[in-house]
Amino acid sequence: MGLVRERNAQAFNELYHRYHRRVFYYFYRMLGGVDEKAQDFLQDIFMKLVEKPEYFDTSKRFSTWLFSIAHNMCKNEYRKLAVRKVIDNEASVDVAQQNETDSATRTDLNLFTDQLFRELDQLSEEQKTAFLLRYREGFSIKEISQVLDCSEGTVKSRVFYTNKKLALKLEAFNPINNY
Amino acid sequence: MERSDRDLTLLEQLLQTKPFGKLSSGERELVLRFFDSEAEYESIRHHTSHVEGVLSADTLSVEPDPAIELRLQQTLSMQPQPEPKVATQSSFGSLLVFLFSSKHLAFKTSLLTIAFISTFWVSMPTGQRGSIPPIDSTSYHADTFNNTWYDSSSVSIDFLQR
Repeated sequence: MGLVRERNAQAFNELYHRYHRRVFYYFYRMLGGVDEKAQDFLQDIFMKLVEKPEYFDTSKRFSTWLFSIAHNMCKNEYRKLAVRKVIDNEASVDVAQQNETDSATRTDLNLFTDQLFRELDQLSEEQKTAFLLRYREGFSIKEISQVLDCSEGTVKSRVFYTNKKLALKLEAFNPINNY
Repeated sequence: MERSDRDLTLLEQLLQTKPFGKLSSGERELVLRFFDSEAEYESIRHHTSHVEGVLSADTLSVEPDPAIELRLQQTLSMQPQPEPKVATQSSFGSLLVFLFSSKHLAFKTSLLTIAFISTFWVSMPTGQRGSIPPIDSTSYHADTFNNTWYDSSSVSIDFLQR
């Protein structure tokens, strides 16, 4: 990151190649699976890195810092989306109906994945972020607390209750319950 | 009942590692403070490991646009290069470090010469600055043939007369 601060193109490319897919995935899942928006956000976050590398917080690991910027961008977007909540709800109903019609040709795993992300989209931005960072990115509780700028206890509680809530919503897919 | 951070940490570990049947009595007590029953614990345990597997293997049908990388590289190439740190420091010591780090030997030599003359000048009594030191004519004379100096007291007359 020191080299990126000195506008070293090779160092920047290395960072981009290491993280762009992970960050893109995060944006895609956080922003309701909208491709264009995830692409825009991906460009914006790395543009910030190019234009203001001096903002990098050296007390954090690079991945933690990068995801905390990504989290703040999503938080801002959620605030904007809250204004258009009604429209979004209508859109999600359409998506749900579309998925139901496709279900005959999909495997159980695909159905579970679709349902999982549909349920995740119903959660708050904080719950969703904590969940994705924990189970997709494999971040520790401490790292998530740095990304979200809250206590470790809050993260543990958030991850636990999100998991519990999702398990209840998705219990139809759990073979333990299908006896 | 208070649910501390420690309890949640332990609970997460248990969910990842132990089925209900292998829990100690203390662990069961803790688990049953968070879950209604053994079945619920087992259900969440299965769900957690399943979700973790699904998320880590999940791939998107869309890829990041390659044009983004190109745009970023163009922007990066247009960014001003930061000033060298040495040049921005104003102290005399830093300036000397900068000058002596120069690769030009002639420049270094000139600088050393100036430094030497300056030191000699400063150490010289004020009255003598700007004039050639006087020559003691009684003890030295010039050899007009080869422009060297001789101590007349050490040269024999015989040698001079030959």
